[in-house]
Amino acid sequence: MKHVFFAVVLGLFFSVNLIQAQSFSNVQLKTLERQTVQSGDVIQNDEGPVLLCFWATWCKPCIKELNAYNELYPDWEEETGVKIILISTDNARSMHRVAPFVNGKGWEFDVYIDANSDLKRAMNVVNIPHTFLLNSEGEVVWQHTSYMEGDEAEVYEQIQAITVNNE
Amino acid sequence: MIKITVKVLPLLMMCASLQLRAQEGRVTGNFQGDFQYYISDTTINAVSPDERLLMNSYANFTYHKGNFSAGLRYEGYLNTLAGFPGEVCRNDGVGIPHRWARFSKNGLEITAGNFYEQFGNGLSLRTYEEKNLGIDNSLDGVRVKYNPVFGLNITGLVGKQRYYFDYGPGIVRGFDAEIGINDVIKPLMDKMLRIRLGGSFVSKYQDDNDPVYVLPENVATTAARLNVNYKLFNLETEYAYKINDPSQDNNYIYKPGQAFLATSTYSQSGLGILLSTKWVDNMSFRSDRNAVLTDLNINLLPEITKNHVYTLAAYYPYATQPAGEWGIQAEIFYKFKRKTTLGGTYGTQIALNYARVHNIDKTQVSDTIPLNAMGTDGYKTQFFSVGEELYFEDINVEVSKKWTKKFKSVLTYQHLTLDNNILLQSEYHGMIKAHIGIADLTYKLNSDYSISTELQGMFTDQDKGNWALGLIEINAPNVFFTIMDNWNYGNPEKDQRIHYFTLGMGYVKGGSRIQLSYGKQRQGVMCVGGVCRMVPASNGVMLSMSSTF
Amino acid sequence: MNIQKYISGLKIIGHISVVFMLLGVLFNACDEIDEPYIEEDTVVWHGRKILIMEFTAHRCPNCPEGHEEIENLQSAFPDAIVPVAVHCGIDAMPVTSDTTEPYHYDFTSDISIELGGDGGITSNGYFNISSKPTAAINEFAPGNLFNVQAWRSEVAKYIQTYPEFSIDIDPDYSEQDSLMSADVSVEAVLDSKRNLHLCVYVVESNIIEWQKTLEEPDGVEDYEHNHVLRASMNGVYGDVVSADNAAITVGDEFTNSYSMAVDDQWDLQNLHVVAFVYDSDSYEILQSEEIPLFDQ
Repeated sequence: MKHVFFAVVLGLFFSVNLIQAQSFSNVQLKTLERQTVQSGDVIQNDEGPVLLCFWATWCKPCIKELNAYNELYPDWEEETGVKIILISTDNARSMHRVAPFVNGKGWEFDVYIDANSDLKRAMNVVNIPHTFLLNSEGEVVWQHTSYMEGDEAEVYEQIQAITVNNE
Repeated sequence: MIKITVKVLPLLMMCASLQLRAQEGRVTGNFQGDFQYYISDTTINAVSPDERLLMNSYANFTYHKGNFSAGLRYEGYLNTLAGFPGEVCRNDGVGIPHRWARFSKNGLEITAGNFYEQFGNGLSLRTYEEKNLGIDNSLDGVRVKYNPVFGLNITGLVGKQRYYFDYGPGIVRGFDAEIGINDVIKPLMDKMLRIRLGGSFVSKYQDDNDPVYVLPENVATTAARLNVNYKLFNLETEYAYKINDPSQDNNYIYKPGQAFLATSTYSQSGLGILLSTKWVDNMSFRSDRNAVLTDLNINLLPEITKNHVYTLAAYYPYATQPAGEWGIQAEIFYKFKRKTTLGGTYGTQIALNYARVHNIDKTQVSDTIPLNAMGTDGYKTQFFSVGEELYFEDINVEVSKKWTKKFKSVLTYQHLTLDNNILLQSEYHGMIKAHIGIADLTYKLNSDYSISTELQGMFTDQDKGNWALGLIEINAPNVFFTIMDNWNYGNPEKDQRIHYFTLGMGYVKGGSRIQLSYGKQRQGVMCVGGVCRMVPASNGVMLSMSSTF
Repeated sequence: MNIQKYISGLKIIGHISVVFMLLGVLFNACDEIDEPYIEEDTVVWHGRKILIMEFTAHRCPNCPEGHEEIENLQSAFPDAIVPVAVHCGIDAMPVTSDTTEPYHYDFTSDISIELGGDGGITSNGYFNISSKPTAAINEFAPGNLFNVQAWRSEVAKYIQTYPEFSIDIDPDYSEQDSLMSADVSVEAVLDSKRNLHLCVYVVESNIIEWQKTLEEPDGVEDYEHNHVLRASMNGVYGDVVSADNAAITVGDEFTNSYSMAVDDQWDLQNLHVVAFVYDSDSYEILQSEEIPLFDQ
C-alpha cells in the first residue's frame, strides 16, 4: 500500500508540472471596510492581467517589494493594464493595521484581508511574500516567492510577456 | 483512525491522478521540509538529540473539479524539531492528520473533514495553523457556510479538535452570522454610513469525571460585533462572554469570562491613524479544560501591540495574558510626499507606535477566600477595570526613506518596558527596560545585484544586558547569501558574552525556495502572528525547502 | 419597486431572528453551575493546617486512645494535622531516677508544665487541665478543651476553610555549638487586620518508652511516643508578629530567625520544628506548619 501511495505522490509531482494554468477555490475575503466578498468575484481584471501579492504588515521583504511595485505601478498600469491586488494575511492582531498602513504608505493597490489564511492555503502559499501573475482568464501563468531587490524587473517582463501574447 | 486514512487516501489520490490525466480536474499543492542537524555546544547549552538529524515536513495536495474540491496534508516529524510543542513523543511520526472534501454551489458551501475557521476577531473561535510554531488546532467535523444574499453570511460547524496526531477530548459546536445592514436593506445601500452586525455562539462539550468538583460539561462563549464605516473612518468592536469554565488556565475557578476589543482607524492617502483598546478577563477557551501551552485553543485573544520583525526589536515580545489584561495601542502612519523638504525625491514614510498593557483590578469574592482560589468564583472585577501593574509598554518610531535610485534606509528606535515576572521571557525576575536602535540599509549595485545590511543594538541594564547584531545580505538573481552575528557583548557574566554567528544561503526559483544555514541560535521566544513559543538554544545546520505547485 | 426590495430585506431580517431564536435554545443547553461547586460528601482541603495540642501522660491509661485518634486524623487528612503532645500532670512525672525501671523517663519540660500544669500541686497550667486525654484544637486558649470523641468534628470545622497565612520554616543545625536554628516566615494569603503572635516549638517523635494502657494496666514497654513537646524557641506564648490591629495585605511577609541550644537527651534525627500563628485577641490559630530538623 505504501508503495502505491508514494508512486501516486511521485506521479503527481511530475504530472502537475505539465499543467501551466492554475486557478483557485473560491474563498471568503474581507475588504478594508470588512465587507465579506468571494475571492472569485474580486480577483479579476477585465483590462488585463492581475498581479496577486500575498503579504502582511509585519513582513519586511513584503513591504520592500510593495514599495517597489508602487513606484512603478502607474507606468505598468498604463502600458499593460495590469491590476495589482494585495492579499493581507494579517490575523486578528494586525488586520486592523492594514488600512492605515496601506494608506500611510501611499500605496494605490486593491487590498483584501485573508485573516485566517484561507486564500493563502487555497493557493498553496508557504511563505510570504508570494506573488502570482494571473492572465485575463484568471489562470496562474507565473509565480514567485520571496523578494530580492530588483525582482520587479522580472515581474514586469512576465507581465509584458502575457500582454504581448494576448494582443 | 490514522491508519485507515492512510489506506483510503492513496486510492482517492489515484482517482485524482486518473482524473488529471483526463484533463478534467486539477491538482495543486505545496511542499515544505525543514531539516536540522544538531551539534552540541556547551557554551550556549545546546544539546544534540540522540537522532542528530530532525525533520518536520508537510505536503498539501488539493484536487479541484467544478464545485468540488478535496485535499489532504501529509505530515512527517522524524523526529520533531527541537523546541516544537509536542516534541516529547506526542508529535513524532508520519501520517495524514488533515484531509477534507468540499462542495459549494449557489452560496452554499459544505465541508467535511478538517477545516479552519474564524468568527469575527477570533474571540469566540479561531482554528488555524502556524507551522513555524507547531500549532494546528483545526476542527475535524462538518461545516456549512451559507450566503443566501449578498451581505448575509451564516456559518455552522461541529467538530473535534486536532491534537497532534490525535483528537482533543472535547466536541466543539459553533454558529456565526454576519449581516451588512446596507446590503440587505436596499434603501440604505448608497448611504455613506455603513453598518455591519455579527454574532457568534460557540459551545464545547467535555465529560465531567472529576470526583471533587461539579464541572460544567457544556461551556459556551457568545460574542457580538459591530462595524461602523463612515467615509474614511472605520470602527470595529467585539464583545465576548463565556460562562463558567473551570480549567487549568484559570486554576479551576467558576467565574465567567469576558473580552472586549475595539479598534478605530482613519485613513486617507498618505495618512493612517489607528487607535485600539482591549480588555480581557478570564477568557482562555480550550476544548480540553486540562490543556496547557498552545494546545487545543478554541479562541484567540489577539495582542494589540506591534508585531516587530527585526530580531532585537522582537527579542522581548508581548503575549496576551488570558487571565486578565487591559491594553491600548495608538499608531500613526504618515508619508511625506515626494519633492517636499522632508519627503525628498522619493518621499519619506514614518510610523509612530505606542502600546501599553496593564493588569485588571481583581478583588476577593469574600474576606475568607483568597484571590483565585480553586473551586470558587475566583475574583470580582468591574468591566474595563484597569489595574496599577504595568505589564508592557512599547514606544517606537520607524522612518523609511529612499535616498537615491540605489540607496534606501529604514531607521527604527524603540523603548520597551516589560514585567518579566508576568511575561517570563527568561529566568530574569522583575521589570526589564530596553532601548533599541536599528538601521536597515539597502544599496542596489545594479539591476541584478544588491547588498543590504542591518545594524541593531539593544541596550538594557537588566536580564542579559546589551546585544549587538550585524547582518549583511547579498542578493543576486535567484540567489542570496547572508552572514549574521548576534553578540551578547553586555552580558553581566563575562563567559556568557557569546557570538551567535550564522551563515546562510538560498536559491529561489518561481514558487520554490531552498535555504541552507549554519550557526548558533540563541534560546528565546519565537512569535508568529501574536502567538509565541520558546525556542531552545541550538547549534547546527538547517535546511529548509518549500515549493508551491 | 423600491418597497418590494425593502420587503425582501425585512424577510431576511425575519430569517435572522429565527436563527437567533435557535441560538437562544442552544444557549439554554449550557451548564451554568451554581454553588456549591464541590460534589456532595467530598472534603477539599485548601492548605490550612490544624494544630491539635493534646494533653497526655505516660502513666495515663486512657491516653493512648488520644494517640490513636491523632493517627486516625492524620490518615484521614494527610498533611493537614499538626499534633503537639503536651505531657503534664502528676501522671506525667517520672516515678524513679533509675533508668532500668519503668516510667523513669521524663516527658515533661518547663513548657509542658507551664501549659498543662503539674496536676494541681502548684497549678493546672495555662490550659487548666483537670483530666486527660484532652485537646485544644486550633485555639491557643484555656476553656475550649475537647475529649477524644469530639476531635474529629472540631477538625472538620476548620478543614475546608482557607488559610489566612502560609508559613515557611527553614531549619538548620550547627554541630559545632550544638545550636539548632530556624528561619520562619509568615506570608499573608488573605487581607486582614489582626494582632498576631507566632510560636515556634520543638517536638520529638519515635521515643520508645513505657506507657500505661487500658489493656495493660502495668504498661507497655516499647510504646512509641510521638510529637512530644520539648521546648519553645521563642517563649511559651511566642512573640508578636503584628500589633495594633495593623492592616495586613496579601503578600505581606514577616520573617524571624530563632536559635536555641539542643538538649543532649534529644535525638536530633527525630526532632521537628512546629510553628503556628494565632490571633492574640480571639486566640484562634490561623495556620500551623511542621518540618523535620533534617530532611528525611
